[in-house]
Amino acid sequence: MESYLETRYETIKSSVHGMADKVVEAVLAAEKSFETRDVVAAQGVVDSDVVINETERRLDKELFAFEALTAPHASDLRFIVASVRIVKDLERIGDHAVNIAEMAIRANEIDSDKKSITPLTAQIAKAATSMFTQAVAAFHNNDYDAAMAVLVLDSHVDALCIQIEKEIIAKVSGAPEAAEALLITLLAGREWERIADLATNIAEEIVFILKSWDIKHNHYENPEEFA
Amino acid sequence: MNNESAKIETRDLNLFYGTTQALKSVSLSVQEREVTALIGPSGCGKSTWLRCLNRMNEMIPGVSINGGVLLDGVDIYGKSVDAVEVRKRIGMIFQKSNPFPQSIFENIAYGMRLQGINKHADLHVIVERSLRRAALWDEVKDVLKKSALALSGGQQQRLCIARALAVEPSVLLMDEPASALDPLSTSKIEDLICELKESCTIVIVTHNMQQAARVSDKTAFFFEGELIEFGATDILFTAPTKRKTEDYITGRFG
Ligand SMILES: Nc1ncnc2c1ncn2[C@@H]1O[C@H](COP(=O)(O)OP(=O)(O)O)[C@@H](O)[C@H]1O
Ligand SMILES: [Mg+2]
Repeated sequence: MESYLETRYETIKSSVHGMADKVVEAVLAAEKSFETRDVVAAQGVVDSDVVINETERRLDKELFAFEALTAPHASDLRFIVASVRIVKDLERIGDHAVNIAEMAIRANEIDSDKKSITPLTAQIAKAATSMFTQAVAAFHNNDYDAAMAVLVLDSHVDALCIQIEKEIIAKVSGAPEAAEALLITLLAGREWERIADLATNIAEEIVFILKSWDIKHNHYENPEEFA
Repeated sequence: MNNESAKIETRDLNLFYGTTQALKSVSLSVQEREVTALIGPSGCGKSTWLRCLNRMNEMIPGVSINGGVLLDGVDIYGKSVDAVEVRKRIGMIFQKSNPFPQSIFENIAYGMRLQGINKHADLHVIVERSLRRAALWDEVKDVLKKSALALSGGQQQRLCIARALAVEPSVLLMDEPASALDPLSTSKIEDLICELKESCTIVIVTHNMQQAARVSDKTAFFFEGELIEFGATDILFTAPTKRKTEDYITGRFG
């Protein structure tokens, strides 16, 4: 039989997981809207942000109360502490998805034939999205290996971001009339880089929940595992 | 876990009540001037282990003990060691406070008289010092002649602590000292524990995990007579290494 406390713990856990799923939806929609200039999908991302924001506020309150009222220990405690941080990262990711969606709407107005989109744009969007969805899947499945696998992808996204910047700078001098659209592409690349970075944070939090290790900022300090 | 600098230590300690084994090869060392908390489900052997530290189990018929119990490196079950001497150096506080049905003053003075201290002035010095150390002096200094039984539960418990402190023990064993007390009295006992560890080594059995987390430096988790895990309290409560510990402290037992 599940105890009262376990039920309560499972409830809050599924709320945090639920928020992660909502943000995954927003990110997937943002990716699609930018690639295809789907303004309806883009507007959907913008509109759903308020729900994500409210969920953050509600979960802040619930996590805080859970901590105060049940005094959790060990993995329960680590889950609660990490979730406070994960919820914050999720909300930020939601904001970046909104930024990308707004850029999609603006880009559609000034560059409807998608001249400013390059293969690299699609690549970075895909890479960052998949890092984030993998991190959320690892969260759902308590999957340490999957969380660790997310971490190694971050440098790839960083490299893509730099490549995009170079590409755009080169293009702008040849086509000053397309400057705004090109700039949007560059800025969108930055947004994806931020999302990938926050996905990395989430993966690190999962490692903390599962193993109690703080591996942030490349502190792979557990000897048995990382030596 | 054997340690040269341990204040008190058991090595492969086994204890049987008749044929029932209540402690299974428990090796655990308590460092000087630290608070060590013992946690674990009822009947796991916490009190039994605690009682071994001041030779209280040998008063129970049918008990057999083997293994070592060392106080400052000396086996307290050694032939040349007197159990009464051991109990003087290792005070004990129980869940149910047990003051004598006498005055507050006499509760502390009684043991001193047994030791041959009879001058009132000398006794008064000890009574005052002990009550101050037990954080009770200010509350009782004007009513020392009153019956100890008129004190509140929390005050009675602090009186028992004062009584234990009168003989200046170097180790204080506490078996659920606050489990019958209200939160305010409990927090006074907890404050007291934190003060006393400056001068005493303290081992506390508690059912209250938050209490163990609050007051102790190290925590030992017992289960079915075995020591399952022992370590720094902050680690044990955030990242225990044993499955059983994890299940117990997260309340997923059974
Ligand atoms: N005086 C005794 N005689 C026989 N069995 C005892 C006695 N005291 C304790 N026990 C048994 O030893 C085991 C450990 O008890 P105890 O040390 O009191 O556990 P805890 O303090 O962790 O609740 C239990 O199974 C208990 O029933
Ligand atoms: Mg007991």
